Amino acid sequence: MIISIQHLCKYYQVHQKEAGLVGSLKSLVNRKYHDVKAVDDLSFTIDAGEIVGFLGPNGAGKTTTLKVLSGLLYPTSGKVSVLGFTPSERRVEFLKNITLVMGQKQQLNWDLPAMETFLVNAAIYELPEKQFRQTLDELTELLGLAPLLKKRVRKLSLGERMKCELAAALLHRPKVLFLDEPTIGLDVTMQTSVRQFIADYNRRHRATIILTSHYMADVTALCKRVIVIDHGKLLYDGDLHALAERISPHKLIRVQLAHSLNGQRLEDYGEIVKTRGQRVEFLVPRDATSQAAARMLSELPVADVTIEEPAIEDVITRVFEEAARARAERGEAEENEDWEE
Amino acid sequence: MFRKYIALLRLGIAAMFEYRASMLIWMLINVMPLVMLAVWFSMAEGGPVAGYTQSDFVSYYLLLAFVQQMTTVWVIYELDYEIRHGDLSIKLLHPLNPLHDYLSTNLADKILRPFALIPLAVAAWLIFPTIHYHLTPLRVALFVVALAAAWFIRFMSQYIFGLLAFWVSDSMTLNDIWFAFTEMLGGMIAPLDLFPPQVAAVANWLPFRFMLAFPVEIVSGRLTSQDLAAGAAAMLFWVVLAFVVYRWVWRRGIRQFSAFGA
Repeated sequence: MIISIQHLCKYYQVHQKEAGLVGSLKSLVNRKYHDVKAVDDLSFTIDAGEIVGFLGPNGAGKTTTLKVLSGLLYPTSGKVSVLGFTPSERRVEFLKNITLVMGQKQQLNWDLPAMETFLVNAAIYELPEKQFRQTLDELTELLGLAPLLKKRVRKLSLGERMKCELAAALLHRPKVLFLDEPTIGLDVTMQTSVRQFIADYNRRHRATIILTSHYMADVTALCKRVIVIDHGKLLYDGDLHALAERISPHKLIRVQLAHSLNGQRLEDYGEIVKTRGQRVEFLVPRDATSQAAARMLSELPVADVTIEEPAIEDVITRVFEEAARARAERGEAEENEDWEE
Repeated sequence: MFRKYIALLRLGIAAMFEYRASMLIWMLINVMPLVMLAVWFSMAEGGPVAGYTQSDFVSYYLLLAFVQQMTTVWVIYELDYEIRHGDLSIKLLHPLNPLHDYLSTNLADKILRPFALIPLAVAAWLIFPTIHYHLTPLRVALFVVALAAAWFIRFMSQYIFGLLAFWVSDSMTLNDIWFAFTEMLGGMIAPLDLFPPQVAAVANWLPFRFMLAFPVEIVSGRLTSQDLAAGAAAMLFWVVLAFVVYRWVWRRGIRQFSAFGA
């Protein structure tokens, strides 16, 4: 077990201020604080070599959790352990074995080529020359950095810069990677290559990875397991596909009809989601999928048929909707504070 | 640690070369000592002021200008920005105290700066051939140590003010006030021995003198051996205190930073 969080809470004290000058003066005399529960009693464990997708809407507490795990934030309460260390102590041996990549923050020196930052990191992390060269060669090959290393960082495109950021964050070969939106703002090709790289790195170094992303494609491509949180609370922890089965007790049957119908009523075969010309999409209960498909094949003029899981985006959206409904029923107020950077 | 500093200095020097023009301009607009020199130079036209001849003032202020150049610190602007924008997080992820990062950026400047100052020093010598200093090997050595100490006290005091950004949003103002005191009581407005004796007696022990005038006084030949020894002791005291206060503020600040959201 590489990462363990038990009953983690992280509350921020937020200073409330009314708008305008009078509000400013009032807050000088009488400051009101209220707690915002960014993370509220969260527990999970992660084993060596796992890639876990960390999902939740904006303000769910994802970034806060990653910052606690990488030692940037003190937990309000709860026990956190990463590689056997308590992150908030920020021991040198701990910091040498982890990395946190934030898609919206950068460590590369803007005015100089990325190579300059790499050399400084090599010194700061006390990497032996041979290991540094070897890792650099590997990263250069995997990420295609060769043409980028000598260019000034400010001249690089967003995608090129992200690749260099990843390299800078991985030169010390961390065993644990916290990736916060590593593909944000990248085009599809670049997203795919970053994704590919993360998978390769995980395979080569048996690294443990927690990844947040707004792009479900990142998650479906990389993570078998997902942890879903909302309002700082755990909603789901487990297999990505099992989540789909649990949340959405239906499957999607797409049928292409060869010609128009001879009096059969499509409604009899399942809930119709969409029809476009001769193409029809049905939602049928998971258990009844094969029966329904068999009936369609025998009774309808079917040219082609596919059975699919509903799109994972829709599944996740439903998870959040259900959580919001449950909260509303308990009468909890909706907080819209956004804790992401 | 040596390897880390070499790497950080390399980076700092490379970054400075990217901005060599603005660096030169920042140096040149630092003219306060020359303004004060002009004032005292004209006051001493009719004869020495409290024992200072025109040539004494020239010697004093030119060296003071040099000390000021070699102790220039701007770390609060970097630190304040990085704390406020959360960029300090990136530095906190590295297995190295961010202080070293900021220190080496400043040191890189101090390595480059003499190259720009040498031509100015030669020019000054040609224009004022009468400038004179009391240069014995011991005093020169003391001067170098006091210069380094002045830089350190300046850097650490500004760094401490910068760290206050963890708690308050107007840490820069506090630093401006501190800087104003340095100008007034550190020997910029006038050499400290021109102050009324009661004021000088206090100013001689305050940190401001050791951030500016003390290195100049060492080679100006006006201090007795006892004055020198007492000054060196006070200087050492402020160096140690600056470090101790920094440690104290840093430990609390980092807790604050990570409690309220990095």
